[in-house]
Amino acid sequence: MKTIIFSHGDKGGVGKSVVAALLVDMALQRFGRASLIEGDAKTPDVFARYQDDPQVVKKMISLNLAGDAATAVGGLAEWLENENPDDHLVTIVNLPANAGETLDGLVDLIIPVCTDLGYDVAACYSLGKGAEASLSLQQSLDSGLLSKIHESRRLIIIPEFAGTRDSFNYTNKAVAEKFLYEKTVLPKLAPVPTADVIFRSPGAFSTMAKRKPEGFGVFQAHTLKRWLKDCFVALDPVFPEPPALHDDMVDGERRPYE
Amino acid sequence: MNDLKTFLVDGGMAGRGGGRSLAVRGLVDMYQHGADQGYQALAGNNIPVGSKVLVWDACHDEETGFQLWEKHTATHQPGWRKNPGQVVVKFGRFGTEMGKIAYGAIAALALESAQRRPTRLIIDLPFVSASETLEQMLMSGLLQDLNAIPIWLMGTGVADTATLADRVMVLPEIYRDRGVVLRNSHCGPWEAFNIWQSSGARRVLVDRGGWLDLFMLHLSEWPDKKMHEECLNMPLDLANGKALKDGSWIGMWRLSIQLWRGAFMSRMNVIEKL
Repeated sequence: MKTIIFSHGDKGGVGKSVVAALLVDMALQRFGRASLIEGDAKTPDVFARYQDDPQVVKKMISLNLAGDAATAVGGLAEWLENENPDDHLVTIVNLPANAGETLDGLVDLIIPVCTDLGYDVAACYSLGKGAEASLSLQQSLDSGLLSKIHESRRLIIIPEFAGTRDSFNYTNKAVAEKFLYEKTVLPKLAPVPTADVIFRSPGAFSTMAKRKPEGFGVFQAHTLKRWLKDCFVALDPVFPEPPALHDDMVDGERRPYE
Repeated sequence: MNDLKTFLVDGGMAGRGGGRSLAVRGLVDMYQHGADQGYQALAGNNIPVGSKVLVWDACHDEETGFQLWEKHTATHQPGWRKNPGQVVVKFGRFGTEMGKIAYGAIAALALESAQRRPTRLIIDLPFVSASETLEQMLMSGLLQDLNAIPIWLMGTGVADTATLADRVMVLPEIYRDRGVVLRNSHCGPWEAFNIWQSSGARRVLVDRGGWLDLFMLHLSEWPDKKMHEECLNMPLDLANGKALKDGSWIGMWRLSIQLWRGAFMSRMNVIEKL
């Protein structure tokens, strides 16, 4: 079964794009190929990261058309139905900041469309700090995108770069406990200069050690390897398992895309 | 050429007296001067000529840590340093952002330098009780790339031996096959280390494995006190030179340092065989 995973989170700067980029990387590692819908037309950094990767089929569809949400969702559905290759088992949708304003009203349309097209629907929600972020999460769980996704397929992410788990407001709100969901902590990539080198270098994270972009040495390679491993574990709850013997993996390496 | 060894100076009790920083100063001195005329025989002719010596001082910052070698070369009489730039020190406390940056920088420098000349990287760790924390910060894969050899400052307590055994469990790639236990004479004579001597860890690591069991003399009380007051964390040869320059310090203190340097090189040069 094909899977579509939305990288969601209402606040800007909470790590949605990093989560989306990691999910694409996971798909490349497990299935050898991935599909990406970049919904953030203003800062399409995930699209730019995988621009030159032939194993990633990608499309830019602006999903924060405030006031014209139907067009946004229509574009998404059309691409999924007509252009997304059938053998791409994982599709990642990088939602823009404040996507809830655009999409929440149409959630009764989005999820059935995806389901009818044969997708298992999952979502990651990257949390921001503060009461406002907590309310946005609650709103999404109550009546927004997350409300229509099965509890085992929605993953709330605490981005460690923003602070410890206890420092996030939602953990103190008893109301959040009435919803069921998976929770995880996305580890921080440190130190800052290493994170800068890794985040500004295009392409899949997991191939950087081979490509050795400028400023990427053995320390960065080990730091990245460890961070990726921890991130993949953190994101695993929403990710489909690869077939036991996947034809596209040869000795743990991706076979070139045909 | 790829001649790199990294000495991970670990163990010791927390605070002053653990012996890690003194051992680091001894190691730096040995690799800096152990191939010089007059020291070669003392150092068993084991120290490679023209070694690059790199230090990550993970216990201090720039104010309190090793005083920069190059700075002293510039400010003291010429000729003290035959090879300016031979030693490079990076500061950054273990577990901090600055520490991670320093570790990354010194690791890159070490790997690059080892392509051209013998390179010895010495890591001055603080006391880290949790081996998992050590592994998380230093990354066993990177330590393997750096050809890391642990040097464990042994005390006489149960925890000294138990923590070493824990290191072997958590970081077997680094701690299982080779290393050095340095019995710190600050804690007592050789016989005082009976817990370590009779332990299963010693049987596995030393009797059946590739570990060395050595003894590190500490400076006697008076020169140790003077060193602490006058030139804390100064390289030993500079401390010696400082004593020479200041007539009032000449004599026992200088002799003590010189004797200690000789004794350290004489005992420790065998680590080059690991």
